[in-house]
Amino acid sequence: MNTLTETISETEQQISFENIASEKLTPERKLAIDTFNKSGFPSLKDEEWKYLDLSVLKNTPFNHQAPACTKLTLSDIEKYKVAGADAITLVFINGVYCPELSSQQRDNTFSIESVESELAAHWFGKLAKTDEPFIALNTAFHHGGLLIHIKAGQEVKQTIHLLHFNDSRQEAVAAHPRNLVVAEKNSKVQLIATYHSLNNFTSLTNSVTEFFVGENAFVEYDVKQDENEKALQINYVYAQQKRDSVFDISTVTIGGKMVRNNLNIALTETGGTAHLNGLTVGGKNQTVDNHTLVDHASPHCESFQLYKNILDDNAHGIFNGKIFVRQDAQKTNAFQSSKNVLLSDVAVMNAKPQLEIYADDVKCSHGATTGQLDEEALFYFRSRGIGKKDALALLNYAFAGDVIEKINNDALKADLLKLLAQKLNTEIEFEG
Amino acid sequence: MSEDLKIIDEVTGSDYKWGFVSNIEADTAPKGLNEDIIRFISAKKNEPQWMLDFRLKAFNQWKKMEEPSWAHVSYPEIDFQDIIYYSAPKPKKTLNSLDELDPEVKATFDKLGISLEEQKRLSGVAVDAVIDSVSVKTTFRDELAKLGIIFCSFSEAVREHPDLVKKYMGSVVPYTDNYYAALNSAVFSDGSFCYIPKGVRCPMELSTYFRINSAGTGQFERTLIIADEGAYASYLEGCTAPQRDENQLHAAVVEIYAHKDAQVKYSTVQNWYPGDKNGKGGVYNFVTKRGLCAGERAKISWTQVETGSAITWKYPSVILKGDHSVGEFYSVAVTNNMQQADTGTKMIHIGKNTSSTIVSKGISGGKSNNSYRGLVRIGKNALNARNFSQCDSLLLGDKCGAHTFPYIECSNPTAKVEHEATTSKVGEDQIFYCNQRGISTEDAVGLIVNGYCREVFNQLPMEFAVEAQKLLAVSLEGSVG
Repeated sequence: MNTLTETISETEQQISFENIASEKLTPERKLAIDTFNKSGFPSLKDEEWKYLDLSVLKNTPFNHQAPACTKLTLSDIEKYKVAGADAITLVFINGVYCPELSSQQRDNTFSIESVESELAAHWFGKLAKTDEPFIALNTAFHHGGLLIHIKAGQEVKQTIHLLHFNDSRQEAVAAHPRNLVVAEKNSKVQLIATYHSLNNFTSLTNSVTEFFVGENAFVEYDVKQDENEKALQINYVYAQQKRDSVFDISTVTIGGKMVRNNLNIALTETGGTAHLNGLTVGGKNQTVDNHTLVDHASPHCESFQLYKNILDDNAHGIFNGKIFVRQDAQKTNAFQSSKNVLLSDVAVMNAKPQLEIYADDVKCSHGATTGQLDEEALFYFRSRGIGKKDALALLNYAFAGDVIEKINNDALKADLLKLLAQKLNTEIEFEG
Repeated sequence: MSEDLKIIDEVTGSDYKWGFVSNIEADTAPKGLNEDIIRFISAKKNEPQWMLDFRLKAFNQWKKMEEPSWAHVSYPEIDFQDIIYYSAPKPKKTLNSLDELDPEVKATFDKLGISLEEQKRLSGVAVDAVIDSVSVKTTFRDELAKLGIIFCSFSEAVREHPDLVKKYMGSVVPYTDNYYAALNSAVFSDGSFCYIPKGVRCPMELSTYFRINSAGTGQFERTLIIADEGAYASYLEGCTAPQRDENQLHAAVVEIYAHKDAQVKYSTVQNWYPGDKNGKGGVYNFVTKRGLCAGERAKISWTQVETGSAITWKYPSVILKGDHSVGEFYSVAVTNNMQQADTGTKMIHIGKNTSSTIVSKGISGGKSNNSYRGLVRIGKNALNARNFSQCDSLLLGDKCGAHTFPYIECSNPTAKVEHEATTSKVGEDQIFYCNQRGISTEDAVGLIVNGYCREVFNQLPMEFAVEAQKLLAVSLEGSVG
């Protein structure tokens, strides 16, 4: 039944990991495979995986060690560069960094090294533990990922754009991008990750990114997921925040057959702030599952979550957010909001906003709403001569705008609005 | 500030006031659970064959099931073979008036403040008092009978109204439903049965007091309430239990069946022994309560005030099957010391234009954990379904936990589902405001907490609202001493 599990066992038989440069991680990789084989894939009975059907993923025989750089050329990827003209683009194909396609200009505010370097070993896997089956898989099969190291006191002026491709034109590829971002004390950086796929076969992108946000550092990470209809994606983001640091993440999911996002934010020292925003515009048979966990482990931290879903056709949206406040984390402010619109009769939304609180002097709240767009607002538009389709599109644009507005990159914002208009099937041009 | 701490400490450290053991000679089955025990229970109660068959089917199902472990509670494994499944107080002869009641039973009620006479005389509440599984006395029976209302013990109903019991028992909570429902179906000792005929509005509050009495006895009641077309009933359930050292298991099943235009209001005040400050002893309260709005415009409303039990595992639910049917859930759950509560509701919307309201107020103190767990499911055909949920938690100490686990499943675009939850402590500014106006801190805490729960207390029938407020005051003022 578990084709992938079988493949893994087979690979283990003939384990060689030829593609992997550094040999020293090999025992870890073996261990990760063992861990995965022990646990297997999560099932619907698993509380954290409730509602998400993984059967397609389980039943597709993926190649986990696909060749790195394929026949993509610079001109092929030009149109995917959406982070602005002066952005530093780092291209990953099937999870492997391709320097020949990436921007060469660098300044000395940050450095780039292999995620398997000696320096990276300080941080690698410290947050993303292999007891999660998909992290075990990633740990076993990732190669060619990057450590992006922002030096203390430096501000990276340009946006760093991580451009991910899954090339499944020849075979079903499971890519395992693995990146590490370390922002040292008093540094500032904005990163953008976009995910795309080229499919004749089903593809799987199983991405793991770990962030270490130093004291008083500021990191913004914006994710755009626009893979196509045959693409599956599992995406883990971990962040550990030091004193007075800020970590902002916005996840916009437009494409992909099945997308599962896991955000784990740990506020380990006082004064940290985290913003988590998410927007899903789903149609056809898409399933998008957003899981968040904000772990308030220290006093005087704040977290804000805003997740919105617009679901049409057979789309299935899932939100599972948890605010966890430990006993020491007094004076915590934590807020979470999940707002969802169903546009078709068969779209389904499952929300599970959770609070788990062990400290008394806190302000925590969450809210969740599911419904359809306001009839009266629609009527207002139509009475002024705006057709139903456009009126709906405008209302949806306003609804989605809350999340897109949070992104501090004009080029990406414009791109997302264009995609939104496309997805909502309207000619209206939205402005940021 | 230290004053505050002291008060909160006192508030959360108060002892159980109403623990005592009455020595009533019990007719008890040996410990353990097997088919023979089930046959013994069934024989003791002179049950017909079909009832025994139902029990045995449930027992076979139970053997195949696993104990649920998903709730946010922890407790040592229960040895189901170390429990006495049947215990009936003697004498068992049928009583004609209160004077014939065992004096000691009567004294027990008096201590609890459930004076039957007074209630009978003053408040017009018909009380079906249950001590350890067997109905001792049912009052106001005749008056109810004139209206065609059947209100009796479950075993009596099995004997006298087998058609009704056969038709409705297990229709809302089947014996396959869950582990504890299966256990209850196999071994239930007694409970209440209530049938309100077509178009009858029950003129008085129906009430049952459950008590767990003999040491080492599990109490497995089963309640079945049927409201026929256009009927109305309000049912009260109140509980207090004597102080005990070993944990007592309580696995009840309550089923409500509401036909077209029927309304049922079910109110509970639960104050079983919560265990001592170190978490020793206390009642395990694993209850399955569910109502079915079978017909159009039916309405079922649950109101609960949960202050007792070491562990509470309870989700009074409503299945909104009939179009335009309404479900309500109002809850106050207070946990103290080492208590654990995992409670909430399920609202299953199936019919069109159905609506549900959930208001849950959790208060946790000491080292307790208080969780709200609820499900709102809007089915594909539940056009224009409406749900509003509000779950607030109040923390009275820095060692307790308050959690919210709502599940919202929406499959219809015309539905409107709203959920909001907050967690906070009693505001220092509110206490300061009260202090300024000459209200002591302990009174202020009581005042604020009572105000916080007002929304739920307002839903309780008059007699109960008073008792609930007293109960809350006791658990809070235990402090004042």
